[in-house]
Amino acid sequence: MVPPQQRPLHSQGAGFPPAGSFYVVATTVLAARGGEQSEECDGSSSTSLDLVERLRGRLASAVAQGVALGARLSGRGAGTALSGRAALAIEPHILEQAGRRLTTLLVTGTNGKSTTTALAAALASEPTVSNRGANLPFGIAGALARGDPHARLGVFEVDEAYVPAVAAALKPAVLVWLNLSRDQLDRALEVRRLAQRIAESAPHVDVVVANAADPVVVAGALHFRRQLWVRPRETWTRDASACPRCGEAIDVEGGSWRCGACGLAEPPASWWIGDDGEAHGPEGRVSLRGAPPGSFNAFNALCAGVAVATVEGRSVSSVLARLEGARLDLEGRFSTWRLTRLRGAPRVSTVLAKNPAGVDALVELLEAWRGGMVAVLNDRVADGRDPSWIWDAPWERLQPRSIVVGGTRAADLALRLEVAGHEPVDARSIGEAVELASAHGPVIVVANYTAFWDVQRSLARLGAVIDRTAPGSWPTERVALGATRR
Amino acid sequence: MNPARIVVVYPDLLGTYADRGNALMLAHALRRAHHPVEVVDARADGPLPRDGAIYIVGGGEDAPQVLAARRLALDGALSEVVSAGRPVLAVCAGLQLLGRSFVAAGREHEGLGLLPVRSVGGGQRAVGDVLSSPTLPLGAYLSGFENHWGRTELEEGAQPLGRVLVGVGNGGGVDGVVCGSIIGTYLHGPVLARNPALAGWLLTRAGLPWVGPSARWAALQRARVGAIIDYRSSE
Repeated sequence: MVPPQQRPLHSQGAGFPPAGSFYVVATTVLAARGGEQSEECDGSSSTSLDLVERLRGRLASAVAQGVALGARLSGRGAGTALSGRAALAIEPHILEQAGRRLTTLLVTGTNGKSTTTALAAALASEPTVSNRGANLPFGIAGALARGDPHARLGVFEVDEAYVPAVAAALKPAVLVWLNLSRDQLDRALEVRRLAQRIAESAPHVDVVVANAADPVVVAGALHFRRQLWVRPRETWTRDASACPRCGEAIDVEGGSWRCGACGLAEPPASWWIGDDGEAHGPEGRVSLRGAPPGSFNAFNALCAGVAVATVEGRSVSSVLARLEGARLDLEGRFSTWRLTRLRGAPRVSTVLAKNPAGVDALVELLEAWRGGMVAVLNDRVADGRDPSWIWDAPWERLQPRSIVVGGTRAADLALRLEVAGHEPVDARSIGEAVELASAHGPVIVVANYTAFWDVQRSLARLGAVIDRTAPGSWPTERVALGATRR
Repeated sequence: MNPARIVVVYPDLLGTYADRGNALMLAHALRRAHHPVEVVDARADGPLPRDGAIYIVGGGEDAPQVLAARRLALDGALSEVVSAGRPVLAVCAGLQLLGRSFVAAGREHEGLGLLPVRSVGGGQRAVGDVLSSPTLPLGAYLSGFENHWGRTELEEGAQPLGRVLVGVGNGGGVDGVVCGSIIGTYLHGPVLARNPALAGWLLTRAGLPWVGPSARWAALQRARVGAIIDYRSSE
């Protein structure tokens, strides 16, 4: 297994440049730092140290912003992770410093991290610094170095394996733990061991907002000082049919779960998503209008609302009242575009799915889709080199239909879809796939991690502009987005 | 005609690695041959069906693997169907627990003793593509993806499934084992999606029809073997 520190950064395909000038700067400053540390041990004046620390913080921030600008100008994406690497090289304690300055809210889990982080950042009433996608310590450092220096609240998504390290540095007020299921088995820890690792962050976290329906999450969340249980309408438990605590079978009865052997059971939720798709809890029924589509996004919005309410000491209903009309920075997830360079400017919606639970959550959206469908599967390092998870994804739950396939593992996906009763259609490029599918009406594109960015680039070449007029089943008018990505 | 039952053994314990896809491929092959088929997910909290045509035992994490070995030993059905000559495909943790012994969660556990192998802990996790040359008449190559700590030693005279060209497999230059109607291997992928000839072997062994792979199934087999060879030659 690849050790976590060697895992690639989520830098949207941006490779790291060879040791460039900022590394030279970094080395110089680090050498200077070595001297100070001994001074610190001697108990010398703290004022000069504070000054050095502040200066170093500013230098880190300036270099990070420069690197990020360079990355954007050279078409390498937002450069968050890259700039974070530079900032951390100059100020290794950037996270600890932020932890002293900011109240922080962390979001982790296999699916929904970015969406929930975007929701929490949008719902917060205080000035906020936040990351998106780049969720390793480098990415968070980059967001901090480049973010609003007057921010009072930090809202960060964190890769599951890095929760203890990030929590130890930031001492978060709230950790949102959405779910935990299989993802990238070729390099991630097994689900249960990953849950144990997340639970190691317990001493550093005031409150965990956790998914009551996921036994793996519950077993881990019980280690924290205080829990706020939130329940989705449904959740993926295929990876938790054996009790995470004792290994015996989990029984599901009357909609809740329990281990007959050790007694681990679903805790009563403070807040839950009702059959009406709205939030229910101690404040009664609260509307989730304005959340991105899908009942899983209703859950993400509720978790964000409960977390922000806890951090800011407000009622959940007053926090969620900001949902409708909130500007969500979702980086293309659940977005609808018009392809202005194609005849008839076809409409394309993009969704991300990178594991069985992700596809399962999307089934209701895909099943309601009246139009063309494209599925793209890559096996680059950031995706996991082994995409065999597609065989555990419930493609059979979709009515048989034609699906255009693409990506580096299109052949695997095509066979998977054939076995599930669908009719796979080949395409030479993502652009061609979208064009082929658009013959059936508006197109929905489902893609895994790096494939999602490939799709965004292909759509940009086809003249994609954000569409806010999509009708009915796909409520994109709720999802206000910024300019077309690159 | 009664449907052929493809039994997925304990998907609740041994279902972490998409090896259920092997059952889907066997069902796909039978539907193509117009033979009725049923995939049975046999959970660990019930008796294992004794009327399966083919049994699929998949990969799993340490604790569930130990639990599965204990349950299968108590249940006894798997030993019975193996004595009756019915084919079993055992992948990764499945291969280990059908052997004499295996190491999980830091200690040695007794296996079902259906395969002449012993599995021990390996030094380094083996993760990546595998290409092997099969000892059965299954074409030039078998391909798959491995992800395991354990190393598996064959007893004297035991037949491996393949000689490893790329990757680790059991360790010692071979992958898996063939013993009567049981095939053991470290190859995920799922292995039958990537190696249609192996599906053909299991179906034929079970006395079921095999009409060859669909075009896409054959295409995936070529694509994966080609990708591994291309990657190796580019190194």
